[in-house]
Amino acid sequence: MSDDLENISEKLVALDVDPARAADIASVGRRGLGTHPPRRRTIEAVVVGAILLSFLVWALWKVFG
Amino acid sequence: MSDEREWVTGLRAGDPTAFDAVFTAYRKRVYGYLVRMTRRADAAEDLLQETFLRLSQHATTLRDDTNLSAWLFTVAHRLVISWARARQVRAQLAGELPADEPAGPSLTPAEALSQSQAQLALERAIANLPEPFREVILLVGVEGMSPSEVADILGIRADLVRQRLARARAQLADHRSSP
Repeated sequence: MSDDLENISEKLVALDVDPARAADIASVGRRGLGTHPPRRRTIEAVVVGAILLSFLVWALWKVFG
Repeated sequence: MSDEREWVTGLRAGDPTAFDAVFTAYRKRVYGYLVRMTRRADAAEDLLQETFLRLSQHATTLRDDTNLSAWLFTVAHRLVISWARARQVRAQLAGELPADEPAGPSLTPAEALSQSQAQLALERAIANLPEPFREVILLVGVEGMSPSEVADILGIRADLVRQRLARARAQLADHRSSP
């Protein structure tokens, strides 16, 4: 690392989230352990994929059918 | 076994103490990155929560060799992008702010906490960097990551990271030398 970037973190303000908020965030995180993210994104991707595929099939059928 | 390996093993097993250890180890670093990227404490807190919530939700699917630092900063980086886009759309719909709002005269959270003129000047210089330059300065200069690690996090080539870093350093030097 070059001289101007060296120790830059020591020259910056030490930032930390408010302790009460940190405890809330940790609690939310602990509760989330073992759960899975919402399936919405996966479902959205499948729906968009299905629409694109059906359009492609329709276009091919129109051209070659 | 290193702490990081033990934490990953614990997370994979759904161990809350492993989550607490990771949160304690990385909270300040990720929060600092988020505050300096969003320039807002409330947004940074929300994104910090979302980052660690995603870690806990994906805990059981982590690979044994997961680099937690890279994992967390990748998520934080993506959340910042989504947050900035949503904010830009809201602002444009409301016809209020320009698309790329510069740091205004009001102090950012980091500037407000500065304890010396030198610290204030450095925080202000970083806050005034364009977002792509600011994030490489934060990840390389503050987090001590290599350009190739940062490239993986940002999803860009390492030579582009080096290029942005060089331009960021030049702008930082200009800002800091100007009164």
